[in-house]
Amino acid sequence: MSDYDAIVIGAGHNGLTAAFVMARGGMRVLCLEKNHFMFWVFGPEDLDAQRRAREAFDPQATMNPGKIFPGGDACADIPTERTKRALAEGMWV
Amino acid sequence: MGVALRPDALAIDGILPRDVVRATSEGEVVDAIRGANERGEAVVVSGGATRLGVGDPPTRYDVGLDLSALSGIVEYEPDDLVATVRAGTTLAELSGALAARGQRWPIEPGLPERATVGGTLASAAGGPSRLRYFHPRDWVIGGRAVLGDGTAVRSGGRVVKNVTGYDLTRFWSGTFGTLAAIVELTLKLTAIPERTVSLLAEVDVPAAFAAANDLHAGGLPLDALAIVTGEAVEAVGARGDAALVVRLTGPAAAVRRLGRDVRERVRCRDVSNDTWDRVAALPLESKWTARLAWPASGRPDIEFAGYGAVIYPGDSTAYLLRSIDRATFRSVRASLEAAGGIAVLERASADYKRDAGGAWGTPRVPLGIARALKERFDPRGVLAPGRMPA
Repeated sequence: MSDYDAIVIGAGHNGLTAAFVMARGGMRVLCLEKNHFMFWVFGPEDLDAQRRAREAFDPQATMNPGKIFPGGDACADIPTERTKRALAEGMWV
Repeated sequence: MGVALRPDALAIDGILPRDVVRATSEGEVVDAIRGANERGEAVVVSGGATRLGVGDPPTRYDVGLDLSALSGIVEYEPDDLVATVRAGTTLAELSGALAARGQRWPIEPGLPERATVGGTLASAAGGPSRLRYFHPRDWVIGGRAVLGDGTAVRSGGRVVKNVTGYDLTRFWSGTFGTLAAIVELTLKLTAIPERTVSLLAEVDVPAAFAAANDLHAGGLPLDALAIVTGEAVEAVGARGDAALVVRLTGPAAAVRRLGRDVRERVRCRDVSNDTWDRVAALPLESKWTARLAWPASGRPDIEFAGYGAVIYPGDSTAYLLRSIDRATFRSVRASLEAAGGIAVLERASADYKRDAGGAWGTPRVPLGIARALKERFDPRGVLAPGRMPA
């Protein structure tokens, strides 16, 4: 427990905001979410179907890239070692 | 594969499919669509075929893929108000299963013995329930579908609180089997109200609109509100120029109070709640049907007196039931579209649709997007080619 100053239960809108505000203020924060990452909820075909919808509306992926699907670009491309590791593991950042 | 039906049961605007495949499992739907991709055939998916003719006639129609035998409840969790059903389950079968636990799926597309859950979402079917319960897509939380390239996919989930990824289940709404064949849906349910009462007033058309406006705009919590005009009045067991039909639901005491409020505003009598089945069926049984919708702020300049129609004033929607000449229809469509509304030919001959400028009118979705979606979900164009603009 001494690894963290605060533990937030739930990564919904309020939980994430609270975690973010504390982390920005210099606290060490752990945010826990019981729901599975979408890569565990959906199979590759299911995710591919979602990507097809995205490509039809936004073929150049200019709108909020990395927000829903992981990729090495924009929002998800915060250059920290931890983010890079998470992306490599297929996590949703 | 299931038993092949006679192709004429699935005729669209006089066009017959060469073969009919009656799928009884998702695997058979996958096989049928993959086979069509390999052979370069065009497939039209159908459920109860109550709205099979909605849209432009398909440019090719080799196989009718009938999903009416892909039916039954997969999972029902009454405590969570959630049920997962196969797409070909009829609304009547669903109601029967849910009523045993005092619940229902509050969508009312008409002809419940034939209309299927999948077809109701795929065709974005409207009806009397729209006033209170809005759109079929608001009552689905997940599902399974087979895309035009034969890939089976899942979307959403089986719980109400579900916010992961893109909501493809609702995306299938109103795509009329042109991007995917819906094979299973998880539905959000609600409780059957303690009391349901239907009232009918025999009035002239202006009085019907005035009373409807008074009741609806007056803020009374109505469950359904319709005006039936012209020759359709008789079909709802009434006489005269127009019938105003109102449905009230809720706890018995509240419905009694509401009934008094309605009667103070318009003279009406109690009628059977089955009246709504007849109201909802009218646009599906007419030889010619056009659906008009307009922005809530306005009302179309249409003379309904003496003309068969079902009007849902609270939803700014009307179904015209008697064919008008093509030039008149074009001008009605033009004025509605100019005001931000639509005029869709739901039932008409192929040549009427063509002369009127197509079943849909001016596309609401930019063609570039429609094409991009079609290319990605149905790259070889096997699913109902030509039914929707793309």
